[in-house]
Amino acid sequence: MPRLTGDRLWADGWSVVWFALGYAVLQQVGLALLLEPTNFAMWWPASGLALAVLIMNPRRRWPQLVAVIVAVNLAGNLVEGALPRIAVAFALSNAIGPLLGALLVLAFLGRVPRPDDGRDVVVLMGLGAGVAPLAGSLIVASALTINFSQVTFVGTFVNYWSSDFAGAVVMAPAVLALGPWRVRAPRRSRLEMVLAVSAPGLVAAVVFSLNMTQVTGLHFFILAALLWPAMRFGITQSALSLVPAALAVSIGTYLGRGPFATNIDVPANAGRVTQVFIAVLGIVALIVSVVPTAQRRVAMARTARVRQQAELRRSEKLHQLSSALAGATSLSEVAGIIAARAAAPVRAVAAELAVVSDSETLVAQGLGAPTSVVPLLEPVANGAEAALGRVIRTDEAVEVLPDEIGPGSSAGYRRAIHPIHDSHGAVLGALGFYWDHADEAPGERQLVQVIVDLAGQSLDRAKRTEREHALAETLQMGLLPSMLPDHPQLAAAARYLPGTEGLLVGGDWYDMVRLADGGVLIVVGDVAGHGEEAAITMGRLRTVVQADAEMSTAQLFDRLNRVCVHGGDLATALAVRMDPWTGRAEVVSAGHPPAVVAPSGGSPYFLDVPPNGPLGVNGQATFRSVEVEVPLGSLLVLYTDGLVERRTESIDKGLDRLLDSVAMAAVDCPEDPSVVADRIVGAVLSPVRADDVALFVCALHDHSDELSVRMPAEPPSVPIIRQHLRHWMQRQQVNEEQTFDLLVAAGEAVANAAMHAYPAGMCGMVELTASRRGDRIELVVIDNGSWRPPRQDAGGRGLKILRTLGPVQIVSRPDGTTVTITFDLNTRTGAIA
Amino acid sequence: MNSLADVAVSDHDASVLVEVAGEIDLTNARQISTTILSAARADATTVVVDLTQVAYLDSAGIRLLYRSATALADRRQLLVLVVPPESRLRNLLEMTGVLEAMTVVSDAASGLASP
Repeated sequence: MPRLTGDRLWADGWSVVWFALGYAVLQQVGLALLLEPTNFAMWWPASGLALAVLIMNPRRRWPQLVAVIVAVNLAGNLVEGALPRIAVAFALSNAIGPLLGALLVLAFLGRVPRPDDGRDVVVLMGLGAGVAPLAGSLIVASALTINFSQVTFVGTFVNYWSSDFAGAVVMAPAVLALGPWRVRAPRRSRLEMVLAVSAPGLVAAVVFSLNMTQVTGLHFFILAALLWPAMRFGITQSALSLVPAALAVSIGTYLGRGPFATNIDVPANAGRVTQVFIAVLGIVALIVSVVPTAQRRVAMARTARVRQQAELRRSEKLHQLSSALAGATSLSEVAGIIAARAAAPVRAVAAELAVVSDSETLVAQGLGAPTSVVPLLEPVANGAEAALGRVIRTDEAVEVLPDEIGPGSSAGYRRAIHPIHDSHGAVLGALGFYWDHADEAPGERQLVQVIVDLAGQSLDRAKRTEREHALAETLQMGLLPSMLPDHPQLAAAARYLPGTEGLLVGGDWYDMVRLADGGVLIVVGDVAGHGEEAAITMGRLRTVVQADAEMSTAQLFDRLNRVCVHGGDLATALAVRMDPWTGRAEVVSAGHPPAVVAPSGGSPYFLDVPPNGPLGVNGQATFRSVEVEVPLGSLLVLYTDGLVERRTESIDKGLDRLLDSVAMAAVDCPEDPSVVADRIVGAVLSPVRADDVALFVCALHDHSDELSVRMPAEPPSVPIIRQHLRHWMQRQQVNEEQTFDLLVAAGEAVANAAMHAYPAGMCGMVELTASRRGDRIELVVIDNGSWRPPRQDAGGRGLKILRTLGPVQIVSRPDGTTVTITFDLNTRTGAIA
Repeated sequence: MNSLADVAVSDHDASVLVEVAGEIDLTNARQISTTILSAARADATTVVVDLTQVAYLDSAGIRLLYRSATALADRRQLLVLVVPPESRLRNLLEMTGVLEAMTVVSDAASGLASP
């Protein structure tokens, strides 16, 4: 953009001195070129300088400038030997002309004339160079006419006016071109600019150095040469090119050369032609150059607008990046967003991110613009992981230019990798940008830094959140059963999923307790609220369930209720106390969503239970339970409301979805509760949830005459396996004597496996299978270890006992031992013989 | 998990009565043995171990009984077992030689009365 004020150029006292010097030089040029004998001035360049400088300067400086003009004129004329009053007349004339010109131009335009506005240029030439000198010429013509009788008023008046006009038309634009008219030239070579600016002057020098006997049209070549700076560059270069051209023309004529010197015998004639020609040169140069200059201004404005729009789009992309990051919580989500969206704001084709996690380095890659160059990315990206790693290790940004990337890389490819820091300055990872163009856009560097900082903040936050989440989950898991007890007649699996939003530890829990009568108690509960309070209450409730599992469910819920009332907590819970061998169950609910039963081959349904209020509302509340029968072979599903509730829909929809998912899972994999649980979670659970979720799935085996228990081959398993066998034999209606004998036999075999099958520190499994065919009972105990040679007092006695109880077959394989005990209920009356 | 066996100790003049109820196996035999030995006061001459309420006993239990008897004998104390005639343990104890090797009575009263 042109500078519209000369303030800076003329800011200090020196500027006045420079003006005085410049004015004096131009005055001497003008005086030196006066044509003898009438002192005819072909042009008066000093008037152009004065006009331009006055226009460029604020009015408060005008008195100084006018004083300079007056002083230099007085001095110059007095030195030349002019009469004092004539010198005063010249000084006044030369001061009033430019002063009036500047006043008129500024008054008419209201601004410093612009180089790219044709009207401004015409006003400058018309009012500034044309009208204003009339006043000065009037003064000079009057003074000279009064003092010298041979001088004619009109001739002198016209002569002075036209020399001022020519001087102003040539010099004023040239001076403005050094200041406010300095328009940025289009991108062309500097050499061409120098040639273009000097071309009119050179042509003029050639034409006006020739000796001519008649007028030729050669001087029109100067006009042609003027088109070069005017059309190829603009008003600045055009105005500058005028000065040497005008000088060459006037000097040539002065020396009696060139086309106009043919009538030098009458100097005024040659002078007038020269005056007109110089003025024409000025007018042509300005008029011709103002159009391309204006076009360039429009083009530049458009470029600026385009750039501004691009910047807006970029900042919009940046905004999209930052708002996407604000919504992301998990580390992988944040990393994915950065990789996918970091490239666009800086017009890179791809971004790549490496994040140092607690245990590993995660790498995410993304293309900035889907339309670009996937194949181009590959070779660079392959080596890039190493480059990212290096930046992480050294904590120093790396920028690689196209020629450094090496073979296989595309020309114009450029990349920059920056370390990402957290708020404490520790390195979190590295972010790489890949450009398919070599040129760095203005402001790109700052924008890259902004994005890297943004990535740092987001990753830092995500890592903290994830760590807190993991901690909360660990805490919760610590409060939940690490293992569900085994039961030969059912398989169970449970899931606990913390909420994904907000905090963190919830109050959802589940538990399963094996009962003395061979049954099980399954409880799922939900303590209201989150955080440690809820977790502590949940721990208390679980303790009560463990301690009072043998009670009836109604009594158990009385206890739980009292714990909640006492602690001021509110909770819901559902308990199923069930005999897995028959499916008979006692169910109680305290404000809890209903359990689902999916019978084998039938549609799933909700278990109807008498409605009770939640735990913790009323210390006097009683809890009614109901007897139901869960068909053997069914799936039983207990859960907390977080599974089925979504903020945006009614709970009925969630319950329907749950029934559907249970139905599907029951058909696909009724045997494996773990798979069923995962299926339900996958189908029903909202990926974004404020609440935590507990889910308990129990697959009740079909009734069968066979018992199969598989447990770790460790002493604590032994009494449990015996207990299952005892319950099984009760159902087989084996009498007490025979039960005792069989228990001892099985107990010895299982104990042997637990004690001796596996070397210390190695954990294997032991399995007991009991089956009945008619009156024959067969017990099989299998382990995968190797019995050590029984010691005389211990294993020896056990084996001996075992052998006396019935036909025992012990088969030792390389990979384990199988003990088979067959027992005939008819022939054996229970007596060990 | 409820403990397999409950052990109650009571003093009766020169005797100590140890009543065991529940199951005795490899998981609790050592603990019951310790209980019996520590219950035997130095001035007691007899330690009566009542097995009436024992529902299960296997080789680990047999070993416990032999070990306890041997340890008590070293301290000049006598181990008396109470096994009712109708007890399901009887066959097992007989087969493993316990009935022969140890003093076995039918009820606690006669055990406490024995010298």
